[in-house]
Amino acid sequence: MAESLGRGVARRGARPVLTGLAPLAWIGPAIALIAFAVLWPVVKMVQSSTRHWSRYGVDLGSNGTDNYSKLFDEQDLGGVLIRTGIWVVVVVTVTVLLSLGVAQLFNQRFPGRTVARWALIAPWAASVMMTAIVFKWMLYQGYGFINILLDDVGLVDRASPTADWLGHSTSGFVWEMAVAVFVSIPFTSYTVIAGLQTIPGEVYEAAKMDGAGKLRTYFSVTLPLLRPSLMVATVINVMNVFNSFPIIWEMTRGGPGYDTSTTTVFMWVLKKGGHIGESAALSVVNFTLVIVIVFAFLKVSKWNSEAEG
Amino acid sequence: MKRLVTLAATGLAASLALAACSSSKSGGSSSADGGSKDSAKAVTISLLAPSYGSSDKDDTKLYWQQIIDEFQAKYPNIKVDLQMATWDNLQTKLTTAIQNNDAPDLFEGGGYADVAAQGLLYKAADVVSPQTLSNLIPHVAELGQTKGQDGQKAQYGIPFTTSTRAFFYNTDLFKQAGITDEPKTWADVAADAAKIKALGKTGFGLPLGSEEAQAETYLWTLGNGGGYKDASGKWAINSPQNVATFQWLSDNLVKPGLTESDPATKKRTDLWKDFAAGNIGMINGSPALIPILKQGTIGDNWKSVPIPGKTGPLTSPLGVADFIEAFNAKKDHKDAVGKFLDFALQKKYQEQFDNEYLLLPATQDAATELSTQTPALKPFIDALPAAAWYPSSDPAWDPTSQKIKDIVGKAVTSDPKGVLDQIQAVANGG
Repeated sequence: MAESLGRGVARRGARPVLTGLAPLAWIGPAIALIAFAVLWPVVKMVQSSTRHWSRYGVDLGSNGTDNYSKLFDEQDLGGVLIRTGIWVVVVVTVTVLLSLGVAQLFNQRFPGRTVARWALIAPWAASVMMTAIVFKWMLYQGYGFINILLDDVGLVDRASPTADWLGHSTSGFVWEMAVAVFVSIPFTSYTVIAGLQTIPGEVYEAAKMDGAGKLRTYFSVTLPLLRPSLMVATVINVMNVFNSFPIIWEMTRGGPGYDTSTTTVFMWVLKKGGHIGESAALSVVNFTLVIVIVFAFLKVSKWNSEAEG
Repeated sequence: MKRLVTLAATGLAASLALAACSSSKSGGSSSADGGSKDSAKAVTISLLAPSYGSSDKDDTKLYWQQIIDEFQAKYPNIKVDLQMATWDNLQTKLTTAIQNNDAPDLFEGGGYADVAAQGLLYKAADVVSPQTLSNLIPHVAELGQTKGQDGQKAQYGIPFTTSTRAFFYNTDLFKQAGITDEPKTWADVAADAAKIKALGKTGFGLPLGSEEAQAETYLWTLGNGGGYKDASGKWAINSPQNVATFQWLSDNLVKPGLTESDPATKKRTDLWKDFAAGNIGMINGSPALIPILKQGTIGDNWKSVPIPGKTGPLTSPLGVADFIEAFNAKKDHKDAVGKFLDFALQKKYQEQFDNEYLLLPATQDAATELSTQTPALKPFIDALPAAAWYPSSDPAWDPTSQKIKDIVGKAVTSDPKGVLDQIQAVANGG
């Protein structure tokens, strides 16, 4: 009895472990890939933020938290962080709001819809850097297309200092946000269009029979059912916009001074100035911020509640 | 919660993958390392150099390519991989290459003291022949001497070209504005700029953007008895004279709108083109501006004079020397690098370069011959010994120069003292 019990326990104990491990054969490569391509760089990143680097990338030994204290002593960091906050909130909010409208429009049946939908892809398909450069030229004081347009309409004298949009920190930053919105809209709109197409027609019929008006239908039926796709669109946009580099770099190089730099741009500025350790510390800060923001956002918007009810 | 984690993980993977892509893109300088097996002695050395002409032309590239072609005709086993950069991103490109363990064998244009102090450079005497070394103009060669990693002072920077700066003005606009005398003092500059502004043009071009703000800064601060270092050789970037200089610029040129708008964001090359197009009344320039003017609508309606200072013109011109440095990462390239340098620093190539850009030579035989052949260059060549130079043999100069390019433009729009204090802190090793 005791013997067979023992054997039984052993067998019962061994089999679940083995069968539990079996899927590893299939997901193992994926896990290895994630470990190599996702976790290892994170470890490396944190590691390098605690080392003392020469200007030219020679590791001079451990530096403890010196890189972090130097980083937080940077006179310009406060402004950079605040600007990053404004950058993310404004760009993502405006993008999502505009995309809701665009998606609604593109979900209607109208002649040439296919062509229009293809055209919507253009800002997405073009290299962001190229788009930024084109906008920089269009905003060129005196001869830029946008300035000529504004001059013809009588809004701005194209030779005036006002027309040097990218020369001032405020107007430069506003234009950069506009370009960021411009390049973010296609992806967001497509996500919302996909969401709109998953809403079954019966729901709208029911709403109609209940006598709901157009606005009421939109806010009580469409929008709640769009939530999953909106969440995906917002989360991906937050991360993308937060990490966006080429728009600001190409249009103003983060200047004048560092007055249009976000954390991602400032990271590059620090590295360029030879402060590799500080730059690594900022990338850890940046990484942490993205994760915290995304989790906080998902928590607040109760991402998984639609699964529950 | 599970979905949340999955989503976050996907996003994380996506953003890291993106980051990986972009970083590999920015590092993408190719190191075509030679030594292929079939030809045992063949090496490929790399050269990174800036473009001296206007950015839309490849003339400096053609200059180097010609030297390379003729060099390879003589030494078929040595290939030279040429990479060009704009002045704007030259230093960044080099720094990134070194950080990625992919330094070019030869680099022309930037600061050398910092990399020499890190032990990354060959001593000039280790690569070039004694003849080449002794042919360098002595006081220019001296500017290329600094302490290496071993603490010994030696020649690390090999001068390639020099230039002096002058003050250019548009004689046509001066005539229209009724100005008869050439500007000699800051007050003259401000007064003339106001008259030119009345014509609807830009009075003075002040490029304090990222391209060459360290030159413009130096020219103005020298005019007030300031500069980068004091008489004892200590950094004095936030000296009262320098603060007063930027205060004056802010109060008398920038705030009254006599410069282009937002000097902090403007590049030298753009303003030079604008000057050549007749849109700017006055600007500081080097002889390299002259070929650009010849192509512009300004034609011959310009004049260059000594740079105005606060009370009178600068007595010593600002001299700028551009150095070649030889990186020692690839030991087996040493011979090839030396051969190429000896070849490239020949008299005919020096003269060709100087005639093309109206810059000044770095070697004595070229200087002697140019002084007689091109009389216009003689006064500039003669003035070289008295010139004020950048403190380029100080290892702190490279990071300092970078910081100046980054932020000095803000000194004319915000508190000059605060901005200069920040730069001084970098110079002092902050």
